[in-house]
Amino acid sequence: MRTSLNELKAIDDHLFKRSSPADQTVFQARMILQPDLRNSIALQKQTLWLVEQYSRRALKAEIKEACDQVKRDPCETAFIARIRRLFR
Amino acid sequence: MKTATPGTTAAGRPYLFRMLYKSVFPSAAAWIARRGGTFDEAEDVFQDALLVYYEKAMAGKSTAGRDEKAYLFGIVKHLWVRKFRQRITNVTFEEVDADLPDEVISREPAAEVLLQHLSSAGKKCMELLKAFYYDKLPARQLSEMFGFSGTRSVTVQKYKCLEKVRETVKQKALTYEDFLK
Repeated sequence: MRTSLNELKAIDDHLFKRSSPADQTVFQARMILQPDLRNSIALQKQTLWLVEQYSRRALKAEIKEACDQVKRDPCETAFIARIRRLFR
Repeated sequence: MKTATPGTTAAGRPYLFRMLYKSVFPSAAAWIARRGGTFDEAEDVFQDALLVYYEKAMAGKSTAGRDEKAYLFGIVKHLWVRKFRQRITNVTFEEVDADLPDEVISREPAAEVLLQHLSSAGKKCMELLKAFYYDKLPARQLSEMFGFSGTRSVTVQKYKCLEKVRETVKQKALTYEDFLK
């Protein structure tokens, strides 16, 4: 992999604690010596948080569709009506 | 009761969600109705709770020694308390599980804009990153799913995608604090 991708992998390994103790020590030393590395770590965390949010939205849509299937099922009409009556 | 185990496949999930909706939603809805919630609010909170329940089960954190129904119901109560705190009257904190995320789905405007952009302009990359980081699928499966020549290509492509998304985030000039609150 090219250098920039190896840097992303090193940050990934640090964030997910996949590095060896020796590599962790080297990485921590780099964090002290290279202030830009801290910004790069923050940016990667932010990116991974967005991936999590994207993934959760996809799963929520899947859950909603499963619930809607129950609501659309003619066999479940009485079940849904019973729940809706709770809110009157 | 069937539980969400790490072996639960994407194909098996709709069945699991339908089954949990039918078995737990009635009691959760009754609990929320007694606290002044609407049907739509109850459903939204219940669906968020299902998401949290599923994440915890996939991480192997939820099921051991617990009553699954009560556990899911506990998550519903907890999320309701957080979302509609001002309406809460008779809930004690003993009733809820504290080990849950602060916010299941963020509605932070900056994140909304960025996610909308990435969902259209970088969909394939987002799907690959989702499959790797969220679904935690093995490289061999990712290779088949995305049509790569092998697991090595998956790894390289994953980091290329990460780089691309990172660059988008950077270009949008959002600060870390903008949506990591």
